[in-house]
Amino acid sequence: MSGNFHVEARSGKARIGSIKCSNNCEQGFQGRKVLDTPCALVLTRKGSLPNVTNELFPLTSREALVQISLLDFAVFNANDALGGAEVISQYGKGVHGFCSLKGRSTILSVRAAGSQEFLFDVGARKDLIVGELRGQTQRVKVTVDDLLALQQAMSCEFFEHLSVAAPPNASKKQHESSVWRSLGFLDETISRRSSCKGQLLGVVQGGFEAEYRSLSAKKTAERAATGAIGGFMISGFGFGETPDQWETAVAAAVVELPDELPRILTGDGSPERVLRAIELGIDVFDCSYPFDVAEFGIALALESGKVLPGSAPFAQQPFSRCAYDLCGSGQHVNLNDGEHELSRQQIIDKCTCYACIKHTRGYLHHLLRVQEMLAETLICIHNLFNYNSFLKAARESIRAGNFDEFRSNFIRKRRQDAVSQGSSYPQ
Amino acid sequence: MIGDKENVHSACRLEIEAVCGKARATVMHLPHVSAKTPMFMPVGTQGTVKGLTTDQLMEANAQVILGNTYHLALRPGGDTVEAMGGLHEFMNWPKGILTDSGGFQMVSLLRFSSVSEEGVHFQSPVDGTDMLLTPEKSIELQNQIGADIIMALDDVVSSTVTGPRVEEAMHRTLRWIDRCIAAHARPHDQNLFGIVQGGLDAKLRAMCLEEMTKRDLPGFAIGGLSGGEKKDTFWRIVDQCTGKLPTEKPRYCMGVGYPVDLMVCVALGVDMFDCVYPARTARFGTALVKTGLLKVKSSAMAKDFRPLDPGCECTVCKSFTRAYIHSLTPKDGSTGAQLITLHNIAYLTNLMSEARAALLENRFPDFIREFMHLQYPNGDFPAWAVEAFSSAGIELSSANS
Repeated sequence: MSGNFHVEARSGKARIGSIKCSNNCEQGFQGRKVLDTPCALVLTRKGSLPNVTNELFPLTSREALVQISLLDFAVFNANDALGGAEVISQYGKGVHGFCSLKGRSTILSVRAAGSQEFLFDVGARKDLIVGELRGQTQRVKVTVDDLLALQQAMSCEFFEHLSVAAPPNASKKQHESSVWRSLGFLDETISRRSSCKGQLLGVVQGGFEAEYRSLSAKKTAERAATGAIGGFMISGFGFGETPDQWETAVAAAVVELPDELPRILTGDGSPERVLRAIELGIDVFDCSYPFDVAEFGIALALESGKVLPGSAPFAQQPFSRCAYDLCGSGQHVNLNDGEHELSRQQIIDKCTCYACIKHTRGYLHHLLRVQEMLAETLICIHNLFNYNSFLKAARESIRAGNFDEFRSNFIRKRRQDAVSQGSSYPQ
Repeated sequence: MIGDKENVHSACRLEIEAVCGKARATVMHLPHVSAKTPMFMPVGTQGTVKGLTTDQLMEANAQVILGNTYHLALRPGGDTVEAMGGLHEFMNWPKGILTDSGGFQMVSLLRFSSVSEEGVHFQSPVDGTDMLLTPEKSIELQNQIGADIIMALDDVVSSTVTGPRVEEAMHRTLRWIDRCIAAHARPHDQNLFGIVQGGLDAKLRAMCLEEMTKRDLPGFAIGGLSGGEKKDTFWRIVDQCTGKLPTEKPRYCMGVGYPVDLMVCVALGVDMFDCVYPARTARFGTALVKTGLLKVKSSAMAKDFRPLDPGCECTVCKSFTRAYIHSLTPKDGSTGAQLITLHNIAYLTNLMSEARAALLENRFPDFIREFMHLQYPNGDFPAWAVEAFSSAGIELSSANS
């Protein structure tokens, strides 16, 4: 199975490379699908960016993977409990046709980025996991066969098998259980997938103890030796773990994984974590971060080695602690801020995203103030574009062999900004 | 960019290209666009059409969009729009804009408003502050906003109100039009349209029409309709108005957006329309299609792999199926409302350009018959529509024979 991932350059453990995606997944698509890594796995809602129709997708298909959430499609329609596998297999043109994702590479994810879906193991059964639909109390049971039927219908380039996460304060027993049940799902998926297209991602669980992460990674990697796995998904993050717990778990997992397969990390994708993850040898990370901050009217201005204009003073407007934590420091523009009312500047000078080319800070400020949907649409477009420029700069620094410097400069500047704004800086 | 036209004395020139009975196809040369009529104008109350980018509006063939003076005065304020280069530049919309005067908010924000000879008193639903919208203030704001077409402030009463209030409003509208004309500072690049009021009373309408058309305005609107009145009354008032309005000037019927109503009004000689209907009904999951209305939320759509409207050339119909749009639930950041809104606007602009093509090709009556038979496949046309078309010289039944 190796051969789909190619490492082009390294800087420490950080690596830059390219992923060649299965060519036969998207019906009628003849071109090659190649991704530059490290890159983002972009959160979607039913296959499109939050509030952004796919024709406005701000990144090329080389620049990001598209995350397809299992629960968005497992129960296709809450009212009549119709399965997405049934609908999309009847439709016959896979997820690319159904969601208008021509030429893009997709991952069928069991847990959508930043969501609480399938957070913990609620059922104790070996053959299925139980999840809750977004914004609803309805619970959905998903078996290995359900997942395979959906993947068969959707033809995502990659898909993740079912697995069980262990919470940050889990007991030894829960940790062990998360490892072995996840491996059980992996083995069952391998043995039952038969003609199911797409590359299977082996999921590494094991909570926040190095011992269990290491065990999970080792055992999952053993399955890779047979060629059954096209990459790894290091999962179970983004729900309250401390930075130390997170780092311990990621590092313990990566060490055990073979070099020749791509490593995908779940979590919120905040810039600091992403840089640390790259440093630890991660290739793809799912991200809800650009969208989470967009919800609060925050436009990203992450530095990517170029000189950027000064960001707006932080937190003039009251908003929740959540957005505050997400931003952590400067390098963003709070478009809620009244100082932008008459600004004819674009969000960031020289930014070439759709929102910046078309609109001023003043207009975006107005849209936020009158709570028009277009505000979020445009800010999401900008944020994803800016986030990707930051990743592009990170890739360039790896190629140039100075990633460490890039990372420490970035962190130092964010810390300076944070201190000058009187806030503490999260690691 | 504000386009400057060669003719500085008039900001609107109407070229009538074809006529069929009272119906006509025209080109309306405005400062930012040469609009082909009949046309439908999407409503972008607060400087944006619900969730759509200006490029998407362009793709949907919108030629002129609406802004609302009252709402824009509240936020961001006339001074801000002016400082940002006018509404065209503020929202980056290069084509035509029409601003409503704020008069309609007397009806839509009734609880927050009262009217006197001086103007309309509003209490802001946003922060409770008072605003007095006089004819002068409305025009001043509209001059700041800078639309191609601006509307006179009228005294609007709901079309279901009867009695002396309707007459009072009609007379006040006539007194206010002269204050609007006097206050208008940019006649060289903004067209002030007068609004014919008079409720559902033919005598009052006649009086208003006679007085209003004495003013040499660039265009006229028919106001005070589309507020829940009987259709039978609605079309007769429209017919009466288009019969008296000067043929060489644009006619605008305010607030009309149902496809059948639009076609009736086109047949009666109206050139332009606006309505929140295509966007509002989209948010409730209804798509406008050739055969009427499509309830996208209905479980019958779950496995329907046709586009919203087969044969429709809009970007939504080219990319997505009914089943996909059906699967999008509102409020979770999914794009269902945007997609249906975009389609619905494209549907109405397309319906208008088809009507226009039929007028240019001298087959308008056949076009109307075909349209009505698709909308009512059983031939159970509403009586009022049959009568309205008939008065315009179009017999619906002949397509059957």
